[in-house]
Amino acid sequence: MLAVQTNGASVQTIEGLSDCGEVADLQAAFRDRNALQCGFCTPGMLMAAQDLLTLNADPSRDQIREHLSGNYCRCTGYQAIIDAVEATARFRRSRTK
Amino acid sequence: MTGAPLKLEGLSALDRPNSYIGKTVPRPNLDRLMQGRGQYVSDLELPRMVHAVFLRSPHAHARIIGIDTEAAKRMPGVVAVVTGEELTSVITPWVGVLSHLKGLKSAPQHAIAVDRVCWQGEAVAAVVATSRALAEDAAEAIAVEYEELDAVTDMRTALDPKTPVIHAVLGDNLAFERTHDAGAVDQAFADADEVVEADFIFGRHTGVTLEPRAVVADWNAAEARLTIYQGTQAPHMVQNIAALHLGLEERQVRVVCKDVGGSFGIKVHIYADEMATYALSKLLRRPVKFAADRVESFNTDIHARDHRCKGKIGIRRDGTITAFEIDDLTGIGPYSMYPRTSAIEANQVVNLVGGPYLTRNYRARARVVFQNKNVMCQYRAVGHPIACSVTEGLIDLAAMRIGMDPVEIRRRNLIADDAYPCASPAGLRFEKLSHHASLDKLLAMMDYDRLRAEQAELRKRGIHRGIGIASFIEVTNPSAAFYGVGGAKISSQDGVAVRLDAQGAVICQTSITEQGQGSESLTAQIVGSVLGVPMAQVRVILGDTDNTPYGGGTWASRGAGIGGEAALQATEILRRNILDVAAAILQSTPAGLDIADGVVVNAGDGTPRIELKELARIVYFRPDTLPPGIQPELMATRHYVPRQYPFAFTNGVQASWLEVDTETGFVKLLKHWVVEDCGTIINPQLVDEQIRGGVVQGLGAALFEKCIYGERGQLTNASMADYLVPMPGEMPDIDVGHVVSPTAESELGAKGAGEAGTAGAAAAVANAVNDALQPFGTIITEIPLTPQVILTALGRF
Repeated sequence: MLAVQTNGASVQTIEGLSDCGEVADLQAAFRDRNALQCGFCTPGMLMAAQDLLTLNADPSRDQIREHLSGNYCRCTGYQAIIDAVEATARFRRSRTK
Repeated sequence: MTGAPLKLEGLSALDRPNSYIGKTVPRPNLDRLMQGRGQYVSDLELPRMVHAVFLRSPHAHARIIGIDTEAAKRMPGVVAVVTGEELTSVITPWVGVLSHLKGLKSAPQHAIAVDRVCWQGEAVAAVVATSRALAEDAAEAIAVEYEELDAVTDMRTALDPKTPVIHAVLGDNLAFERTHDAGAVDQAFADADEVVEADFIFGRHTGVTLEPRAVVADWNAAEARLTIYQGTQAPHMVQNIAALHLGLEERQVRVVCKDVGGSFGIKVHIYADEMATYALSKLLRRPVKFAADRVESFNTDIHARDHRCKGKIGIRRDGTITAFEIDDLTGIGPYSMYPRTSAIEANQVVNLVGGPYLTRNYRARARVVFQNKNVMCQYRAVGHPIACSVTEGLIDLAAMRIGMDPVEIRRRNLIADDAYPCASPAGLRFEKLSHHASLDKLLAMMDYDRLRAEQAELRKRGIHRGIGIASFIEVTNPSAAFYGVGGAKISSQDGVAVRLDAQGAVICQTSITEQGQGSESLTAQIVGSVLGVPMAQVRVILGDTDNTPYGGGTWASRGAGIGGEAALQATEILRRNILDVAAAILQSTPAGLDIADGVVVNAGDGTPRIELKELARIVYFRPDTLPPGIQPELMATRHYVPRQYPFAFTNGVQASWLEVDTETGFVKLLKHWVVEDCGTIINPQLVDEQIRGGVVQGLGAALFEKCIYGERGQLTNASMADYLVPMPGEMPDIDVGHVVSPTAESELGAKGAGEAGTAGAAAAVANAVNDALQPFGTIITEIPLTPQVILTALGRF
């Protein structure tokens, strides 16, 4: 994305999402599941996953894989990331019941 | 656990109730990475720092007639424009050879090309400017006149007499050749009922780390000291090489390596552009940063696996394998890489073919040739995927020929689990492997018989699914046999210093490095377990040659087995020293005391006696109250290197379940299973994730990844749009199981696990594709298995 494309838009960063606690449960799930190794892709994975979870509270594993398919990770093989996102969705659904 | 473990009431320190060994605990360094607060070199800014950009050759092979830098020097923000010739006043060239690889030859390589470029992407000049953008603009203003030379691109003809010799001084394009002949191969083939041959072709691919290579070099002329901030797996190796070629002593070079955005062997080498960056800093007396962009990564990060291997297997009708024979050819680019050389992968292929199996009859030839393509060198699971794909491919072909199930033929030929210690046909010594137990576990996990029934049922409906099995061996915990014996200053030992701080917490400095594997975690787990303190009280420091003991770093699956054992041994000493002091303070005996949860307790009943915090206060601030003659030593250092075995071999087996669409040629991966044996498991979750990540790198090679070169040596797909990597949507879930055969050489008993996934994944997939295509009578022995390759084999393209 080019900087000019964000004209008039609100830009969220991983630092901002971390400090306000919005993705704290997702980060905890990533930690518990070791869903990151080198960590370089992780901010992008967290934000893409958060985007999915705001659109779909109960995504299937295939839907999670599909939604994250624009984000490349070379370390994990993805399964731990899918597990962490799935666990977060489950946690959030249980909380709103 | 064997060796000489520290016994505590009959238990090793590792087996105590509060031990972290064998437990899944979160890595201590994750929060900063998840919050965008990692410290990658790509993000590093220093005062007075300038940016280097390299103008790179558009030709695969050309003579440099002239370089006009005048216009570029006048461009805004430009600090310097430097050619290869000019840089030779600061840095000397190198030759990537090692003496134990007999006959290996290469030509001197410069940090920036002098007189001649030998691959598309080799640097011909550097522009240093106040920003990367300004440097890139100025690079366009450099005029280079080239005389294009014939490019050697096809490894199959590289040795033909009419093919030009890339480095005339070397006489030919042969970098290295190794032959091996064990047993009675000709007789064994004569004794076989069937002999099956195949040509295996492996696509050249590369690491595609998330963070491209990045370095900031900071020469401080007043200190006469160079600080190199670099994402590297081996800081002390970088220190040695930088010093050697810049005319410095090692003490004048500090290498700092904080967070690294992926490495996988890509960042264990010395690259010309990184050497040029060190030299530019020394020349300009200020910090210089070089961060490769993605196109540069594809053109200059080492490539790997460009092999063509003829394989031959002899088989009796009862399933007995009588012999293996291979003839491997690989093209490594114009230079052998430095300092690990580009002969290691072919050498590994010779070492590993046939490794899991009983037959002693094995003949091999491997030839390594120069080409005008990007350099090739060691990448995760060096040589393993080649050897495994050839061996396991031949076994499946042999099984098909005699009409035997792929599992049954393996059962009849895998070395028995009680036959160890023993040696492989290539002369490798195995301490303890578990092929049969691993295979049994795998078959149970995948429910093999049910899958076979499902496959047969679906085949009636025109759905072509396949099962592929691949057993493998894996080289881990390398001793000096890997590099040191050949003269490379690459340490095979690692060191750990551990100390109690003034508040009773533990500071641990280790020479292994972290690129996400969990080095910090496993070190903290070991230190916490052995000492008897919570992991949260252990701070691990790594990646800094000024502040860690001397050691090899993290590569070749050595961190846990070698660095972990050093941590264990250092902590045992610290524990003993603490108990000596505690005994003096408490008027007890060291044997009567223990440490649990950060408190010195009575060994017998666990009654708390003194907190480590209080002990540290007395030692550091009130030593006057200690009994006379006591000089506490609350810091201990130990180094470790395996000596009994050159390598700690591990083993495992993988299986792939997939579906081939015979109309489109697409392969859908449905499921993947791995059982592996890395000895003592320190953190099960970290091991499983190493395996899964490794498998997916192998799956990329199996289905997608290939650096596609044109006839004139042009890399045609150097972008993330054109070079396919595995993405979440195409990858299967991967089930991982373990068999545990600890090495008796260390107290910890850990072997490595970093290569296992990559070693066998492609072989399992290729065997599964051929299994799926059995009704069509076609065999494919080429990866990546793209739709084009599959449809061509089916006669539909």
